[in-house]
Amino acid sequence: MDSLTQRFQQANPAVLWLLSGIVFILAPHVYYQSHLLVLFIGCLLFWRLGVELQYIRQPPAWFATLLAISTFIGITYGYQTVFGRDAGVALLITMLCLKLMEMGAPRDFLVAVFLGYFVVITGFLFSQSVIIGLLMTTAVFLLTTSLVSYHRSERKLNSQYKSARLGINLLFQAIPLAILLFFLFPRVPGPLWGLPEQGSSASTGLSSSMAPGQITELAFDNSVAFRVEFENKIPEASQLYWRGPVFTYYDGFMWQELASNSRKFFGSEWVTELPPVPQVKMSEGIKYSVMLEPHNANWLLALDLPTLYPATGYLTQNYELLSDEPVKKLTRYEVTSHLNYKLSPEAPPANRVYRQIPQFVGPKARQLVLELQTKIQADQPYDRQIVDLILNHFRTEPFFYTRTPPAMLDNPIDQFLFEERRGFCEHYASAFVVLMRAAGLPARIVTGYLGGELNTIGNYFIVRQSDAHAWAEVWLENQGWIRVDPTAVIPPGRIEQAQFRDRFRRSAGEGVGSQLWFADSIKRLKFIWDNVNHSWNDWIVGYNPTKQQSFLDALGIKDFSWSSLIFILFGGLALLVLVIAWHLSGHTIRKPNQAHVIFRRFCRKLARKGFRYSPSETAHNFAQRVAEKRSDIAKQVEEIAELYNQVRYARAPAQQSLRVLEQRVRQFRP
Amino acid sequence: MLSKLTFPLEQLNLDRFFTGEGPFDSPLILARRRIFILPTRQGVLFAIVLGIMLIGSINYNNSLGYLLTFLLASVAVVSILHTYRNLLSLKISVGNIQPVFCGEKIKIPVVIDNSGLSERFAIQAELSGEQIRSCDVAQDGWASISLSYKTRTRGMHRIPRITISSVFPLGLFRAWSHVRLNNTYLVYPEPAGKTRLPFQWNEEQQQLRGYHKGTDDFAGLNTYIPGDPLGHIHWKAYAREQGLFTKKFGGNNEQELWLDWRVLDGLSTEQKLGQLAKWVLEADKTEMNYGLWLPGNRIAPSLGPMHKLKCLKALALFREAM
Amino acid sequence: MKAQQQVTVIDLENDIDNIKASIDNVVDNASQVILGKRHEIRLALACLLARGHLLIEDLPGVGKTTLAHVLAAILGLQYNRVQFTSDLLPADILGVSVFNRETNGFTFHPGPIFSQVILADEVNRATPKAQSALLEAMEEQQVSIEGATRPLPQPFFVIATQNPFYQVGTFPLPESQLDRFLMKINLGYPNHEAERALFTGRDRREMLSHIKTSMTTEELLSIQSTVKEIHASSDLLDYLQAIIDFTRRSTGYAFGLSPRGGLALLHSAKAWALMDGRDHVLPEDIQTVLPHVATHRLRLSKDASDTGTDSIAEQLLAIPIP
Repeated sequence: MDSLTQRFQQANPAVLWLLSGIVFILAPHVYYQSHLLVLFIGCLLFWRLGVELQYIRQPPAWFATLLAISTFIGITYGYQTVFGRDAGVALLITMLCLKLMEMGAPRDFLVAVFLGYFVVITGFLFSQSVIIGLLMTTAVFLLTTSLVSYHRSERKLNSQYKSARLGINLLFQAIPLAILLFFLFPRVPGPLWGLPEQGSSASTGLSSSMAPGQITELAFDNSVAFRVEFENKIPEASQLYWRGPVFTYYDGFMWQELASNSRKFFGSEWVTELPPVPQVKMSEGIKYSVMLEPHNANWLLALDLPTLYPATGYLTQNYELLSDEPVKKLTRYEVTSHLNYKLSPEAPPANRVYRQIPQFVGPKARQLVLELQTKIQADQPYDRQIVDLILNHFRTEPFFYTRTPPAMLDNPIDQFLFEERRGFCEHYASAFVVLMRAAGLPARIVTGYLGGELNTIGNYFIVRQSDAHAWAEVWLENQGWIRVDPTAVIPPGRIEQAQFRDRFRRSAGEGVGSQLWFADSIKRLKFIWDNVNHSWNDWIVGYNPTKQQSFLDALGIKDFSWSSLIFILFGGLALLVLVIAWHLSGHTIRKPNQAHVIFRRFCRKLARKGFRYSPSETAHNFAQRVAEKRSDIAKQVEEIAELYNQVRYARAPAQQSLRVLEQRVRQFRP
Repeated sequence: MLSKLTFPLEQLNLDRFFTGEGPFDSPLILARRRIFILPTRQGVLFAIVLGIMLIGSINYNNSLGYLLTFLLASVAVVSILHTYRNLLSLKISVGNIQPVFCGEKIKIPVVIDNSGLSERFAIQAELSGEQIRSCDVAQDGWASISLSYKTRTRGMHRIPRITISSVFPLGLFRAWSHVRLNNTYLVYPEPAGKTRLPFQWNEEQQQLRGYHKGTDDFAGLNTYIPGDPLGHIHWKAYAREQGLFTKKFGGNNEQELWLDWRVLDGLSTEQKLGQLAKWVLEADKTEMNYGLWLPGNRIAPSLGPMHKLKCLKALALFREAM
Repeated sequence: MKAQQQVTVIDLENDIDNIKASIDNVVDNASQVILGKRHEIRLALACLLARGHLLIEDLPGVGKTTLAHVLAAILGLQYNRVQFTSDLLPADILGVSVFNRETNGFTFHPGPIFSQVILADEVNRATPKAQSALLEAMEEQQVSIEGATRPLPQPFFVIATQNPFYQVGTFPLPESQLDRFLMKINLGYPNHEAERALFTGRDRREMLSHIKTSMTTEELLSIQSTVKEIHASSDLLDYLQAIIDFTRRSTGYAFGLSPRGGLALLHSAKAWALMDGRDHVLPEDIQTVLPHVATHRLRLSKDASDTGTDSIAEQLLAIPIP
């Protein structure tokens, strides 16, 4: 039996390159596809490798066909459809791997590689992260190298570095062209046809309802929710309340968003009932752009209070910023917010839902409100005092902040306020709003994110899922809706998990302040990595018609028409191709000897007069031949021949000899 | 490299495209204007795949999809340049072609010379669609591809058109150049016929009785000249490391055999030539001096491979006087 | 050795003019004796200046011996002639140790090889053993006899003559030995005028005795060392290599030029350039010496000789100058 090395040496290296490429192509699908399919495909790949290394024989054609049919049936059964993203991709992947099984004719190999290229693109339907990008670039490199390897006549394993080098070269030379195409190719907004519904479209991040315990999951989820770049002024950390879903209706256990009635379909178009316009100082607007990771729900996060927002979004009565379509892919939008605002201070909100509490909820809480109301001083505004009294209650009574609160199932509000007194933002916000409503004030719960981490490398904020937060809004006489964050009043000493201790204290300016230098370095590295991600999202993934427009504007190509854009695009492409051609040609053809080139010019002039220069003739002999017949130019011809010999063969030809030769040849008129 | 694109239309010579210019003297350098390039069938398939990918990317508005599509398209574009340069400035020449008998395959050694600065991969050579062979040519190196071609008529022929092509590196484009060279090859008539060697019809040998080897009298030594009969080599001297010598035999009783055109009456010209060719081969084996008589050409009796080739060449080039 | 130091590139240009003048003088003097063979005399001189040895292949009586004699006389060199015959022994060339009664020891009697110019006449008539004695001495510039190594005088110049191959009873030098000779020239018959002058003029032998020495040995040695200083530009070396490459890759030759052959070509060309009064080599120098340096080192392969290609020299001179 041959050793493994020998087997590898006998194998077709192109197939080995292809197999390794396919491993990279399939790597992300291991995560997204069903394990059964992954297992099946893994077996197919190993089988193919075994065939290539001559451990197993190639399966007969009928077997491959049978396998293909049964896989098709299996996938159809498993996914209940062959359409749609997941089933389609599963089908493509298995097709690719089955194609590997029947690779006899040259065409089969090429079809397999092209199919491989095609499957690369399906990976992007699941994720467009930097990692996937790198994986797929590697896959493209390996596939290209396999093509190169396939077309070589040399099949030896140890000369494969040449194929790889050429593969890399091809890729690197193509990159400038690809970048040009990417940025200048006219982008068409919107899908050409209806997007097939996607199987796994569960929303991530914030949820559209809130029962205590839900946000807990997010607390440990460090993935990025969105990134924010402020145009000029960065607001104070204490003001970074990113407004998400607003909950108004409480059924005793769960807070829900009251079905939004602000947007209705009238006749043939959507009509939006505009929310009340806040009173703001226009000069104080903070402009920023948000790069929102896909979460499959409609809301767009914005700082309290968004005043200018993209056309694809709209504001609800509760000042939630929503988009028309669920955010299924990375979305970039620009918002202007005003942090100092007065929202409808004139009249209390008419909607009764802001005062609603189910009857059975919180008898003890209502009792507490009645007790607190006795402390109200008549000369002060009632609502302001009751807010302060309740916040003070949280501060002075032994309330604890914990991420692992006990279960409160029977009567969550009373249990929290009087028995457990342990909870996190949801519990506090929920209890506070109930108390407010019991005191007769309009109140609602706002969920979203608090704060964020400033990436000092890229100078932008990273807001993670773990920054999710819930707070309350209360309507006060003459002040309108104001934000109250009851969780923030808990003193640091009563925060149980140390890692959350700094969570609400950023306003106080206390940082983590690690003494260890490597912790800093790691943080720095994390920032760099996040910055890479951000730029990637900003420039590659988030590059859409709008971005293209602004990019072209920035380039100074204003008011472009498609034809001029295409003209620029192809002009640029031609230029790049010429540059690459010139570069390649410099590495292909030897630079001709300059003196020889000039001499050939001289010979061409004489050729017109009937003196044909033979390439094996020496300059002197040629000159003599000419001089014998043409005594009028004999001197010139002999001088040129002499100069030519000087330049090419003399010990140390004078620097100007070449120039003199060129001059003489130029002036030469036979 | 774009000379092909900027080529003025009125100068466009379709013959150049389809059959190539020439014929030229060997060697021929594949200059820019001699190389053409077009997508292969695989290239078209690849374009279709790219088209589907582009439509998919537009539909899903998938940025990385766009990027991948554009990257692959750019790789294809760049591969045009690589394919083109794989042929650029190669020097094509044809080595010595061994004559064959008609109906046999002639071997044409195509020498591909690379004086450029980069290695060339998978250069293919083919003879008017007959056969494709490929080889790599190292930088400053050369490679030889032997193409064979079935001969159909005797005589001196110019070699058919050689097509030098390459689909390297990706197989999406094929660059080619039709090379027509002036080299010729010789085809001997196919040995055929049933007539026996004409011992008895030898007029000049009538007086001699029986079958003599004209190799009786040793007349000295000659330096070996390639082509001398092996049987006449003075092996003893060679064993003494004195070099190769050929024994020279004299005497006028060497039997001479005349292969005479005139005795083959009733046959067509080609049949006669075929018979004569067969006789030459048979006579060569007898180690007997033989001569050849053709209308207008008489080759004196002699022996040895050189003589055999001389006779065969005369047969190959024979033209009947009109 | 003193002379060598004087010459070392102090004023090469001036030196070269002087050298050209004195060489022209030598050639003029020699041409008065050997009529119509100016080019051959110059070649022979170039061979001497390049510290090589000369092989003259020609028929008897065309003046091979005279040439050797004249050169030795004009250059004031010690001259010896060895007639090679089939019974010549190595000792006849190298010398022999004879027992001396008076000293009760062996005394070495140096053979004819211990002179500055040796004419090895009809070298192919001697046995290979005798030939190799000469060739070894030529190669090593010294003689080892009975354990003692004796250096040969400087300059040391062997002119070997050889009858053309086809004469009976000769041992032509094998290819490996031919390589030891820097050049091979043919004298050929004199032209009409020269032959007439030969008939009408004075007796050549008489003239020989009246030849004046026109160059000192020191001068000759210094010129020999100047040859090395002649410049060969990289463009020229490209041409040289093109020639060598051609012989190696062309199927027309049994084998290509060896590195020694290449060096021989370069040295000869340098000597020729110096004789032309140049401090650098030109392609014409190479072309001039090429037929004499390369042809005896090459042999047409069997294939090529079958199809009857051009002569070696013609092929080599047709190589394009890069």
